[in-house]
Amino acid sequence: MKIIIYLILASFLLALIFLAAFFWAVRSGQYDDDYSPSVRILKDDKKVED
Amino acid sequence: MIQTDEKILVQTDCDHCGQPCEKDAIRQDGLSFCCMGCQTVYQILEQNKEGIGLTIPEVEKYAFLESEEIIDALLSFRSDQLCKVSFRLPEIHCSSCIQILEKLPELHQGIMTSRIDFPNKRVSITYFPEIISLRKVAELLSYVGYEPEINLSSADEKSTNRSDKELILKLGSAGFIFGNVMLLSFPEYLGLHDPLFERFFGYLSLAFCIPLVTYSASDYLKSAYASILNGGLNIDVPISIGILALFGRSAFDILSHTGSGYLDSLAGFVFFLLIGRWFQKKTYDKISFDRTYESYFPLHASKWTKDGLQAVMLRNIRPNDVLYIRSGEIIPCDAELLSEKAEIDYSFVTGEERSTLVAGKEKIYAGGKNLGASVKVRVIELVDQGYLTRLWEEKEGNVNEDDRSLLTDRIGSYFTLTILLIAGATLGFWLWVDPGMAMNAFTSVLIIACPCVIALSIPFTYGTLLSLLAGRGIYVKSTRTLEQIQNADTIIFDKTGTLTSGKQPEISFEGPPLSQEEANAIGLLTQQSAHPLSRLIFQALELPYSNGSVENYHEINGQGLEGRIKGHHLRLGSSSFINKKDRYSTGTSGQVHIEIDDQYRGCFSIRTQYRPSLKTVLNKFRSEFNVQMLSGDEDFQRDELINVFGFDDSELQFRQSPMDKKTFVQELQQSGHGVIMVGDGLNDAGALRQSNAGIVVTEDLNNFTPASDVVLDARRFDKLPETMTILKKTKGVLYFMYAMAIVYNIIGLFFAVQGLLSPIVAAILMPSSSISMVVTGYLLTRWRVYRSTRDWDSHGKEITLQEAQKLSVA
Repeated sequence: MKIIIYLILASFLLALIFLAAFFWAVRSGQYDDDYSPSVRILKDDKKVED
Repeated sequence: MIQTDEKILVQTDCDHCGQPCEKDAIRQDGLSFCCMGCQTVYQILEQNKEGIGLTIPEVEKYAFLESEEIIDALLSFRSDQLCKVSFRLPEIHCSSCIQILEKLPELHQGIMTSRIDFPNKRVSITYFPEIISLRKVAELLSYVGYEPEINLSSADEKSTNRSDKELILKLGSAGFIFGNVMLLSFPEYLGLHDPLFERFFGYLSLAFCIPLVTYSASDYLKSAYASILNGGLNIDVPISIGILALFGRSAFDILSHTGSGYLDSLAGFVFFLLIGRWFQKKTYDKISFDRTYESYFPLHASKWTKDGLQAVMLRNIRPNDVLYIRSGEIIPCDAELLSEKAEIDYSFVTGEERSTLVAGKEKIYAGGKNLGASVKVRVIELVDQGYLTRLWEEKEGNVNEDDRSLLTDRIGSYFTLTILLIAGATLGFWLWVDPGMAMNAFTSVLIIACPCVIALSIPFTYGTLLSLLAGRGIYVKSTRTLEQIQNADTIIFDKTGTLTSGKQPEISFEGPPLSQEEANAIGLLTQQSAHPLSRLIFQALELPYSNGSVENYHEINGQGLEGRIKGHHLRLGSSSFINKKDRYSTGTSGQVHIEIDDQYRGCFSIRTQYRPSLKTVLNKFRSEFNVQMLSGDEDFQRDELINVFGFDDSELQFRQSPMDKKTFVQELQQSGHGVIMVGDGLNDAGALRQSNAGIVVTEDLNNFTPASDVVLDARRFDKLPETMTILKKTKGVLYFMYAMAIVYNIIGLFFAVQGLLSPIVAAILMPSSSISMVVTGYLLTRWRVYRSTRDWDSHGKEITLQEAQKLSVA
């Protein structure tokens, strides 16, 4: 059953990677504006003109 | 005579963006728009459809954007093909602004992309320098109604962002650690034991909790340390004791293999605390965002046009507009003086006590107060309404982001002392009975005594309350103001402008009829003043605004006006000001006497209208407060006030100068009373500032006072007693939460002092108490506010259809 220890450590490593991604995302400013994206998706795209 | 361009109160939807138009809708050609931006963009798009190209008008003030140095300083990226710049646009206020501003590429070929950062009110534009210049970009933004604020030292933008990010990072890490530690503690909940895994999970959880304590919880520890160094005990002290006790005890148990520790409770504890802080921050952000935009009070100015005076909202003023600034009014933007001279009080801006004399064609700065006769000025540069709000905050002290409540800190210190006593007693008891249990019980007590409900309850209840009230026309500065109001026992009303409304009084003139020349002269004199009585007289005379000048103009607050017009010396004011026996008085109405060239000429009798439902409001207040009224007027309305409104003689004070009013408040405070002052900010600013809570009632005046803790829309005046009741009942919610917290703590302590606090008990008790109480408090507050304000009509649905039709045609 020692395998569980290795499994846990492996998933812990994976989780750390995600935590690092979270830190990067916040630091790079993605969460600075949490209002505009909700409005932006409602914008009509420009029609492609032939 | 006086038009307003923003009185449309019937609900319509903007013809451009589809949002409902609020109170400042703009109407043109039968279409309505919610803001200038929508209107302009609509016009531009219509023109584009018809094939008319976009000509962007030149704006002189952006000429400096052609200089290479400045361009270099402002651009965040520069190459021959592409340039990137970011501007701050104070005008951004709604989702349609995002829509409009991100449509810029459609409006001009030179713009490649434009992107909004809504909370910070910034736009990032990428453009082609070969097609459009930086100056033209700024002019384009200005043209669509979003004038950029160009500030070469934008260092402060960065610092606010950093603290936001820090909190999110700490919260995120705490959540991460909380989830993982809970998973690792799971087997224990099921009662499974395996020495190998227990040790492994224990070490792993401990490793997780090190960054939890040193990073996520660091603010609490630092604050508690600082508080102790200062000799006080704020709410963060018991929180920190809890955190350190949990961690220390768990570390000991795990490393010595005597137990599994309480790390799950620790992680949950820190996580919930940080959620509370985040919630508080969001509430504060929302309030301060709205506040920079509307500044809590509708700031108007009077624009001088060929059709007469027009009241315009501050954000609709454009450079080169001519504004008419009356005596006592504040200059809303940097301007050039068109009149010959002016006397300006810059104390609000620079703190300079003495006033400044300004000559024609010189520059007057925003925030200055006009002391002399009215002047005309030409707008040079519009100032961000936020600038004026910031002046207010700087002067009065900032709304602290932490918004430390007095109550929380006080309770915090009692709590800490009690817990330390209990812990000490427990330690002593066990050392005497069974020393082995001593550390166990001692640390258990410290762990379970949870101050989190106390720390979280005020942000969740009062914070919710503040934003709900703001949505209903009552703008409160901070939670501390709420506490001040709750602790007050006296309420003082100013008379003119507060109890009386500025609308539609009856005026009659008593004395031999005035000649046209006399009427013109009186009209010119009253034109200079912003006092409600002067404006009423002026309106009653129905004269056009005159360009004439008044020499030696003096306005004495609460007394009267005087000046020389065309060689004649006029005095206008109360009977003590005129110093003659009033020959034509009839006793009960307001009287403004006139003296021309030392000859008594007659008096205007003004029956001012009191606010509707005043009597009910006063009676409701009387049951809980000591009610007082101060007025700068004569006591001619004493009988009316006593008989009709039920005032007692002892409650009325007349002939109060602004200084008298302030002293009155001070004396009450010195004898131990908590004082609420309700005024209109004109001549009671000092008293408002002095009182524990100053409430300003605003209609649509061109005046605002920096002394107010609460700004009340005049339409909500009759709701004031109900608001007080809401506050009281919310305090009730708070007490309920504290009582429950005590109950939870007693239950927990019951286990702790016996040394029976197993990790499972702690893990159940702590989070369930926090979550249940916080959610209950939040829901109770919301329910309380909704229930009490259910029958309040919505902000601004008070104009009749006929009036709306009349206004739309005008």
